[in-house]
Amino acid sequence: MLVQGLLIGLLATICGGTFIEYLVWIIRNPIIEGALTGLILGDWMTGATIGATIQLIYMGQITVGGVSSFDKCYAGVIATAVTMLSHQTPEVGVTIAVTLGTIGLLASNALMTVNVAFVHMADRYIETGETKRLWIYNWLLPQLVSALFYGVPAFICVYFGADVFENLMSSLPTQVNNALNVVGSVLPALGIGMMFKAVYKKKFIAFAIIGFVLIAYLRLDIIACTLVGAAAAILYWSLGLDKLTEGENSNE
Amino acid sequence: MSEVTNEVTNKKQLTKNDLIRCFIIWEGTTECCLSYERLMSLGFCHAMTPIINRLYADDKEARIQALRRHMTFFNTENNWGAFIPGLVASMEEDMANGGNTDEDMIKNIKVGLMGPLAGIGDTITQGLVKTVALAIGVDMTLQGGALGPIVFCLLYGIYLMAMGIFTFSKGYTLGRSILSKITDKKIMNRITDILSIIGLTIAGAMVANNVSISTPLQFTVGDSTIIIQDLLNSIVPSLLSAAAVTAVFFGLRKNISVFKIMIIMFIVSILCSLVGIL
Repeated sequence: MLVQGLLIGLLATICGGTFIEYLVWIIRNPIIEGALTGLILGDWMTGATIGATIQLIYMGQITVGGVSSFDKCYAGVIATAVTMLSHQTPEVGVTIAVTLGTIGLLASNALMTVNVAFVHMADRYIETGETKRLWIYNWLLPQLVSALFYGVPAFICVYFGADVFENLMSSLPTQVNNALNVVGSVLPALGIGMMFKAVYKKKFIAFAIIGFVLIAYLRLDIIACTLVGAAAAILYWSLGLDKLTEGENSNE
Repeated sequence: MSEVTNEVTNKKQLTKNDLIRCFIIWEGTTECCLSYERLMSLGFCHAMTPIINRLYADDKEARIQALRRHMTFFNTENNWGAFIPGLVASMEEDMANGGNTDEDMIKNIKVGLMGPLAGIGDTITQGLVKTVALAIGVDMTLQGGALGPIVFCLLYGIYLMAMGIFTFSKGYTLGRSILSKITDKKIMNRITDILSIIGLTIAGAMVANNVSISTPLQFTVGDSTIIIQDLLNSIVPSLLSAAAVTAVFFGLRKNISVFKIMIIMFIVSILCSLVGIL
């Protein structure tokens, strides 16, 4: 557990702070965090499944100015690790993720607060006209803080928490466990609802019905639906329908 | 100050290498030191260092001045927003060569562009492209495909890199002339229209595919048992899921916070589970 704990801690440090901007844009999503956590704990597929189920509730989530209503590292890396170590279903994992994701906001708030100090240190440094050591303030110090607020808690969860979580979860009455599963099956509606809000335009609402019918009745898969949507989009463009609807482009 | 620079006869030019280094630092570290006070300021300043060091190599005062002006408050979406360091690099170059650009113009263009580009970028990148890529990746994974997460990485990763390189290089080469195009409402509306068509199709599909709310309720009438879920399925499959998503959607449209909706869902589903409805 020591090595795994350290690796999960490292993963949480990378995902929690911003290790490499471009990389983090891609991996700081529960589906990837879950798969990587699973890989470290020895089961890619279980981790990916838990991560993908957690991802459903964050589907249409848009982070603006670094301010999110959930912490994606706690909800992705730590929640997947806890769920896997206590042998719970992905649905229970969703409930764990929501709880940890909210607690995790403390970590992201702390990180963005401590970073203020580094910006001020950089302010003083640039007065020398040098730039060689700027990366220390911009990159290195924030990583250390991320290790403290993300890496250490993740390590503790995996290294000390495995048995604790397992005992805790197995000591829960079945009714509570059922309730957790129901919460986990209902919460994805939140993610899909946010997704609707992100892409919603009143004049195109018919496409939501088409997509629904393709799956609910015709049982196609998502890629088939994407192609149908893409075909409709191409038609819309090539027939010049966009010109007909100009001026009606409000989101109302 | 400007008289001094005008006397310099040999033109200061940014090399391709400077621009690549600027772009790499931008893509690597813009949000590493995200802080409540000035958000991406230090990241922007850091990305500008290859440019500043080239243009003001032998003028310490100008260098300090340049570093200072890029330590001001800054925040944008950094893929579409890569346009800004590209454009600012060309403006710094112009200024260092005694052109018309002055410090205020650079500051104003940063402040003026970061908002609109963040708005466009957040909507298209996170709201639409990422959502579609996630839908595909999540679906593959939940169907048991081990490659689901990797497919998402590829789709999203290629988009992000292509968008970053495109906007950064356009920012430097075309400068302000392309701005009217990028922010042209007609073109933006067409792009969001198309992504909205695809996005809504997928969102509708995901209601049936990824929300699986069902009720264990059943009634016995005489010898026959009526299973409520079967009854619902014969009306419209996934009816409960569609109802839940619709309820969430209207809540969000009424600007109820995500957190509040989540708490309500928690309470309702726990109550329903205890009563035996869900």
